[in-house]
Amino acid sequence: MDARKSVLQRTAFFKNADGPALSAAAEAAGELALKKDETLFHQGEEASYSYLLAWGRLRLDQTTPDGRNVVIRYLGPGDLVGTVAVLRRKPYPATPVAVEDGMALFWSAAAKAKLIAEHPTLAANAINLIGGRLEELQERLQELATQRVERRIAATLLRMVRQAGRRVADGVEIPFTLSRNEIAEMNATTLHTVSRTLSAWEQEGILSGKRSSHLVITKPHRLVEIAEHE
Amino acid sequence: MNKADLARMIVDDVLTRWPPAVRAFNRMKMACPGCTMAPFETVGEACAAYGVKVARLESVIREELDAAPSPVSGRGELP
Repeated sequence: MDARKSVLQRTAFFKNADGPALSAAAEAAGELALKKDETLFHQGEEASYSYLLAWGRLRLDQTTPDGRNVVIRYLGPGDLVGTVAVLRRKPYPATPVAVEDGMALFWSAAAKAKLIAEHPTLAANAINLIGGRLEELQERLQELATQRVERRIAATLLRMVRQAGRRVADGVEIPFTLSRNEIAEMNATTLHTVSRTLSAWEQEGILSGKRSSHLVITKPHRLVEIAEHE
Repeated sequence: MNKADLARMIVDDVLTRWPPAVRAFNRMKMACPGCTMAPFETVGEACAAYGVKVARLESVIREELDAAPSPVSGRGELP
């Protein structure tokens, strides 16, 4: 239980939470080990549980009515998954897929509602987290509506860096597997366009994609320039 | 500590430890404050990207530290 509390304590949802809130949350939580490629739940299912990713990384997929897949975003340690659907009693809007092994804590809809009702700090933290996601989506919507595709792809990679970037010897690494198809699905563009763009950036020395399929940004300054000015 | 140490420091660490350095980067027209890459790049790398000599940036940071009122001038001596 103490181990679980110390995991909770480090996440944004439990920021400034007092002892009783942490204990109640730790006691009501279940634990779920995730293997790469497993899903937490499926889009359209009744939202019975909400999750907190303790470690690992998830890709949030959404299928459009005409059957295309869109990558909504990636989620990392400390991110809430399925919370809005649970609180609004709506079906899950998307499918989270593990892109690496991980572990999630989960609460039933009733337990989550009780936690939030009894501990206002958690309600405030949830608003902050969900507000942050909303801001990010608004930023992406604006990019989609106004920017050229190269600039959007650069902005997407920068968002990944903000969420999960890691400094390595030759640059800044995005430390999980990110296929060109996934980048296309995040940017409303084609695989061909992503391949052409990334190949051009590799030629220019901005990126290197060799190491175990993780992208390394070898000229971070140039990528920021492309995202902001071109 | 010497000049090489400032060049090896991460930009974000410098900006956090010595907030008046933000003004110095602005004066040198280096857009590092607030940049996504600031937590990942060293001062030396940022200077190379902008074609600014580390020694020049350092002297501008020192000017800003001297000009700032002491409570906000940051933690400890600049390397």
